[in-house]
Amino acid sequence: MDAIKVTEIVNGLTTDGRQKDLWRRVMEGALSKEAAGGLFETLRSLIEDLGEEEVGAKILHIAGEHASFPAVDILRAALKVSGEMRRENEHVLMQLRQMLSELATPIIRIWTDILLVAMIGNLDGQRAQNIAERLLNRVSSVRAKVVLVDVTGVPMIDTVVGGFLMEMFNAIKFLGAEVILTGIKPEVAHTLVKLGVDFQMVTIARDLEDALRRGIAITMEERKRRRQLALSLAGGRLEESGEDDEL
Amino acid sequence: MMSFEDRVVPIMQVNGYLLVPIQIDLDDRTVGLLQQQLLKEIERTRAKAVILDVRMVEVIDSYISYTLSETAAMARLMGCRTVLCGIQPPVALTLAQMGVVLQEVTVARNLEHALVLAGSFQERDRGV
Repeated sequence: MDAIKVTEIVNGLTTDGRQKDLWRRVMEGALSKEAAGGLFETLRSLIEDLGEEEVGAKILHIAGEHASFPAVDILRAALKVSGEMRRENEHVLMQLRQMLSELATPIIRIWTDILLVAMIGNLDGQRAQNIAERLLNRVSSVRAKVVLVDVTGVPMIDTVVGGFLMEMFNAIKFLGAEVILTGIKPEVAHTLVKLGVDFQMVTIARDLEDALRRGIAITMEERKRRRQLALSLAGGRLEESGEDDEL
Repeated sequence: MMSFEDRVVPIMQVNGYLLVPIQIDLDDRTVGLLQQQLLKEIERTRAKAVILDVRMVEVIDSYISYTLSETAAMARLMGCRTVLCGIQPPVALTLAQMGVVLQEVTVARNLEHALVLAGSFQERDRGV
């Protein structure tokens, strides 16, 4: 194919100078059977600019103009490039989703032995699972006595989301920690009652301040019990000592 | 007296409680034997509370959790409360997702928490 013919075809494809240059490289690369890497890079640039469908359509158009143009080979190369781009995008998307998940659900140690989980955004199955695993590991590692769960940032709680939350609450209770739920908005409360979602297994607080106050009360109560246990054990020894004296 | 083969786990008596550290993998037969051994020890010692420590247990399936609940209910009929401690995060998540409910069992974070809970049971029972 001579240069004049190439120029005519390229001029027919686009008016953009940069894209003309890209298409010229595609045609020269296709016919020279060399510089395969260069061809892939060129196709990638075109697909990024125009999208897969338009690139495919223009390749077919070139084949219509010039019978010896190897359209099948070029289309196959374009498909390969497109597949690689999609996999890269999916990988980046997964990383972004994970990053968003962690940012959207901070787990904060708000008091001695008290964790606060502030949930933001919609909950789906995968995200709920991820949150539950991170949270349970955190409860275990810091030996939390109380977990405050604030759902102010969750736009809607239906039966599915309610189910995720209940599983999470039950799992936390299996670790021996108490759960206090707060941040239920009026419209959410209305919906939950209508749907029959039952959060009876957890304590519910008006707001974060109320939740924190209750959490502190729980830790104080347990501290008192621990002190009583220590006194009881000491008392037991004293009583035994007394009995020994009597004997 | 119990024969050696009936002893599934060591059981220690601490201040009127029975402490049962479970350091073996629980299967259906083992958990059944544990049930029998526990009930006999409760009768013999007249303990007010039993503390089951499952920190070393990696899998608690639905049958085992059912048997543990059953054991706790039996112990309750004998005037004895059951406290379970040491459940690890992956086990907790699996139990919750299976919809397991441990009836008649109180769950503690660790052994210290379990002792506190057992103590509170004793106070409550004494008060009645």
